[in-house]
Amino acid sequence: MTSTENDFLQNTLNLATQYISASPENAENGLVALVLSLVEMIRKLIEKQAMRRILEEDLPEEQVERLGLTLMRLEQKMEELKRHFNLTDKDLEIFIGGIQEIS
Amino acid sequence: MLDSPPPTYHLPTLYKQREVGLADVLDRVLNKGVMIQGDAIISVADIPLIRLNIRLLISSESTYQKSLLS
Amino acid sequence: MSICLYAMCADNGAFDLPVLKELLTAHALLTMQKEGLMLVYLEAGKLPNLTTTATQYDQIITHLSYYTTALPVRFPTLLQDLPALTHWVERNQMAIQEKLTNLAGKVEYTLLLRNTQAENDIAPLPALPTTTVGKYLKQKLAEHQPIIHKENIVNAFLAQYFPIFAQNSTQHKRLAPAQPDIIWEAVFLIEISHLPAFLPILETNFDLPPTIHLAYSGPWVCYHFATL
Repeated sequence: MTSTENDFLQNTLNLATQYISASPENAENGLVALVLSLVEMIRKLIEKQAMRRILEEDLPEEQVERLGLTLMRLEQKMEELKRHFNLTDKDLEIFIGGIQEIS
Repeated sequence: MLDSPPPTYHLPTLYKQREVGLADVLDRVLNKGVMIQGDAIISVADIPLIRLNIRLLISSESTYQKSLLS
Repeated sequence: MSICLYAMCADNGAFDLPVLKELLTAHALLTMQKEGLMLVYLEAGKLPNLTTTATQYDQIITHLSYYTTALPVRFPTLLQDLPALTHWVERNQMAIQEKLTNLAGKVEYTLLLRNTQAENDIAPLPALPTTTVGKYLKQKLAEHQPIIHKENIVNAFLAQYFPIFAQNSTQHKRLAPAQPDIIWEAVFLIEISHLPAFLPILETNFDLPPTIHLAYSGPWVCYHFATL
């Protein structure tokens, strides 16, 4: 993924955390789940795209390593947020379906 | 009163009949077609079957011959 | 008396035909003319076993479609009474007529690509380092690879053949596959006069991997295009 996409995702996750933490009522009315499901959808799209690149392009090992590291960190960050707000994948999938449906 | 169909009618012989699974038929009949909205409706397809994946319910051995009623 | 609406048809005189009169009588179906439409319905007390009735529904509406344009209705659609139905038809008359005009002389066919065997011919994963990141990537790649592989097959197939399908049909809709072995599914609205051009295409020797096959079903009444 490009650094732009990476930055976008990191920034979105940070903003999401700040926004939700700043207004407790947002956590109550399901806004958290909605925001996180959107972020999760983008994360999955980026992950999917990265997989394609690794499988189909002859990327140098160092680039593969960097891609992998970014993806790993994004997924970890997402897991942290889900734990923090006590949300499961099922909660997020109400808005957006599983990975099979993301093309 | 018409004795035979006008020329614009397409007759069954023009169709090539294919065997289809029961699931394919029910999926269309129960999930597709015009949906009528409004308070005149008592229930529209208000059966638990609809909410389940019909294809999983019906075994693949139930084939259904699409044929003319005779 | 509550009623079950079966179909809304073009009122073109077809219902005077003995064959249709017999069909309706055999299934206790009643008709009502309204604003250039023929409404086909059943008095709801007479609905027997659901699966039987549902399969019969397709046969009935297919048979009707041989003689007139028949708009299928989600089954079963129950209305309070006949006045409730006619009232609804009045309010939606223009949309119904327009849809009947659009679907006149057309049928639908479903096309799908089915994967008959689990893939064992996917390219091996690229070499990855044995670091934490490497192991993470290995797991992710293993998850994604089968999906990407299928997508590539579908995209190649569509790139090559979809234009021909589109050329010989009026409209199409891609469907979400209902079963895991179906990797692509779409329904095509085709004019009956175009069937002799469309159908032979389906017998083409498509350049597909050995485990992938094109299957199709039809002709169907235009269920997927019957929305107002």
